Amino acid sequence: MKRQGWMAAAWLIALVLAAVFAPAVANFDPYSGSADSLLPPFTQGHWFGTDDLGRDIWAETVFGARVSLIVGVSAALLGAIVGVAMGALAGWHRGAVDATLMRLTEFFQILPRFVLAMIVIALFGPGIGKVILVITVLAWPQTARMVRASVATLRRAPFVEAARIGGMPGSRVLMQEVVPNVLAPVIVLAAMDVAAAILLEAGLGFFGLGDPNLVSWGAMLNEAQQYLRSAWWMAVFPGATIALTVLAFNRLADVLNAGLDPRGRS
Amino acid sequence: MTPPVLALRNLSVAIQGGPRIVEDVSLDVAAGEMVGLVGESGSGKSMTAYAALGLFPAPRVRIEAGAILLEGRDLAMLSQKEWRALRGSRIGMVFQDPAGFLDPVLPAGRQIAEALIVHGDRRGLAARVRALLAQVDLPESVALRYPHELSGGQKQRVLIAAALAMRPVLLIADEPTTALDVSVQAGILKLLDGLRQELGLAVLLISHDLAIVAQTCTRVFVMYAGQIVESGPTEAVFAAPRHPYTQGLLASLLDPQVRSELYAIPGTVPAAGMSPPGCRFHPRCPRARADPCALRPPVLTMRADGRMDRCWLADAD
Amino acid sequence: MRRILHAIPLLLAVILLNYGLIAATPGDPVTALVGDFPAPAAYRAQVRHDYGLDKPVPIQALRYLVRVLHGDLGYSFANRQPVVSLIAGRLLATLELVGTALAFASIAGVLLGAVSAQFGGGIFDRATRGALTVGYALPEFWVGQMLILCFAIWLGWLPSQGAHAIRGAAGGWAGIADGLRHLLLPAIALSLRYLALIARVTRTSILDVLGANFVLAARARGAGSIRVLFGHALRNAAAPVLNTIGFNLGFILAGSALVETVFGWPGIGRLLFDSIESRDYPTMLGILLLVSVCVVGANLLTDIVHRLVDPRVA
Repeated sequence: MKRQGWMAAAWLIALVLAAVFAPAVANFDPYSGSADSLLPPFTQGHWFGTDDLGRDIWAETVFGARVSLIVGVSAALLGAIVGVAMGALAGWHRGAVDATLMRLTEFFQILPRFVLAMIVIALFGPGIGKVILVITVLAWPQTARMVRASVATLRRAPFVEAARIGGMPGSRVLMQEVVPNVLAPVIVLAAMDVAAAILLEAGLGFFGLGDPNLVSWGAMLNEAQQYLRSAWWMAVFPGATIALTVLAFNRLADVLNAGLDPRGRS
Repeated sequence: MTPPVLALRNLSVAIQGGPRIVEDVSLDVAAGEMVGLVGESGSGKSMTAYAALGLFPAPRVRIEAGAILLEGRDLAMLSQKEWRALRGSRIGMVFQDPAGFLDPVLPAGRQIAEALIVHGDRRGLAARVRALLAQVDLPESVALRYPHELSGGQKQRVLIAAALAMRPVLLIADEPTTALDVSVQAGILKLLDGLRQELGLAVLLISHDLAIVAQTCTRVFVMYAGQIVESGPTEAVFAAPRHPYTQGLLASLLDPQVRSELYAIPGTVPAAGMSPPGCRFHPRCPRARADPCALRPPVLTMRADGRMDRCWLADAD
Repeated sequence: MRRILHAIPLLLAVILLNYGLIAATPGDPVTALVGDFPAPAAYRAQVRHDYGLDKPVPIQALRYLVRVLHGDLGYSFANRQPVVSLIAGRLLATLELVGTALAFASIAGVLLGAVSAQFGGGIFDRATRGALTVGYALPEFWVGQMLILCFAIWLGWLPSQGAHAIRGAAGGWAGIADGLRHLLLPAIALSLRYLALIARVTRTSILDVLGANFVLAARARGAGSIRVLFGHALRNAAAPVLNTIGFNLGFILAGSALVETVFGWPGIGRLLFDSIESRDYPTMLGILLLVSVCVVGANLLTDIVHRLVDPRVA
């Protein structure tokens, strides 16, 4: 468990560093093709080979990490913020606010996330900002429901009552006493949301709905589809990178969860 | 002379590779007799009961030494398969919290029938379940009810019916009334006592509540920190307790006349393996002396009247 | 009954969301109803009139709602076909693929989870848990590509594209065998993540039950591990497992869109891919509506089944 947690962390740190220093890590320009198309791995300095337009797969994979990480982390972060805000409001105020917000989360939860995301991007045009926005809109309800339940319980906790009786205004009690106490599971959920967002972004890319100006892992797999027979490396490397990254974020969530669970169950 | 239904001989139970949670316990229960085993929670009384069933609620708990004699036959060395054949058929068990010990998604009748089915006795199943329900004073309709549709007392009666389905010789009742409302407790105790008489059952009643034991049991064993500290006929022990622990337990009984001066033994039972040197009770004992109480462990001693206690000071009175 | 009433507003909301997407489309909303084609001006005017796009928003929404409730999902100008018949023509292929994957994932997932829980903490359990964690992280479309690489391209055992052999579609047993050979790889690719999810939930649910007091009581009655597993653990774990299966149907439908694209499977997912490529908006919106309705239906069904397995929820 612990060892796997460290391995996940090591992979994610390496990935972030590679994404930040992509121009230094990649020895080719991922955007410019060459005459050396469909070269297998480890030929002429192309570690992962080249694609149909002669672009270096290693460079594309490294630069693709930028899109995946930005989309995954921003969407999860925004989703967590919206989710905590909505959940805290619903759990704190109860009554009509609660009922309305919970109906809303229920509606968002039944929406088929991936299909809806595809159609929104298809209608409104591609762009990394829109992808982040769509995933955020689809990701917040789960966090909101969880936060609502915890806040509703904490509302009755003695230390919260004490703060209220002490004359602290309701909004400050909520922000200073209640919300910090419900954040631990939100972090776990956020780590899982990063993984889900990366998978969703890859799926969009595979459907040709990624940002056409940026390389992304999903888009690479879209191209690879036509060349499965002649260039397996076009599919293997970006796909394995997605899988490892998603695995690492899920693992991170598991480790955080085990660490935060007072019962220490695995 | 026929051997007692259950006889524990120098039984020790331990966590594998860890401390003993039950140490050197000997007790016996005869047919038609109800015997009490009392102590605070953590005293090892429940583990003693589970040992008699060859079953532990926690993993890695093992019978380490001693013998468990059921009608003269030693069970300690039985295989898992042999244990299974005995559980529910020769030995029945009733538990503390009837709500948690009934499967929430099965009707009550099915859980009573389970005891018959697992022992391969399927003849006239429905009729026998009905008869068992009647025996514990429940209407037939309860057979089709789910646990959440039953009251606490009804659930406990269902568990008793399931425990008695195969006509065991021994019934182990682990705090059978603790989780129930006071108004229901008397009914369950009356039922157990009636079944003891009617069926000639040997009943081992485990309880922290001395009042219940005083009402129902002819003999009592008092446990502290995994050991028996006092035993004897209930009346005699409760009239003149010899071990300061028994005295403390009795003093803390809720007496309506002296409610304002309710007494509680200071401190708590030491965890397994954390017992102090000398007498295990001495840090909490109002009469303890530096020598010998804090230095040498007392042994369980039989006095002239046949009662036993484990106290350096008992014969100094 | 209350559940069914509960599902109705959700369905209406889903339809209105569809309308909202049309209304919010950048540029002329008629485009969302026709598709991004140089359609004749007269046709566009006709659509504009039919949907009341020159009227106020509430009337537009109402008209759209009424049309959908009458089973009219619009006309795919790109395919010169009503969207409903276009989707209906692809429905069977998707049902075949999703149904197979769902059945396989459920059966194998429950078995794997149950066996893993039974050997809790042992080598088998740890290996299974590791494999499930990995399986849950694999994008299904990439799994599809890898399966094609291994079994179709390198080993040459199974076909990589389509639902039938292209030349000479056989009848009888040969036809069925051919269909199964085409079905195998996409069904595996589609079921993998779902299987991992179901197995994980089954495993934790059963472990929870095995630690419960009523299992101790059953063992005190003489029940062995087999009896405990089948008589108590599986039954008690059924509710959370069924909920996982039912409430995640949207998950497998989305995966189906990707897997169908990888395997050239002639279903709704492939239709979605094609309609995105050709900017055929009415077809896309029709599919979104269909999938949403399926998810609402699956949730409703799951609730009803949950009631049947768990007597506590009445």
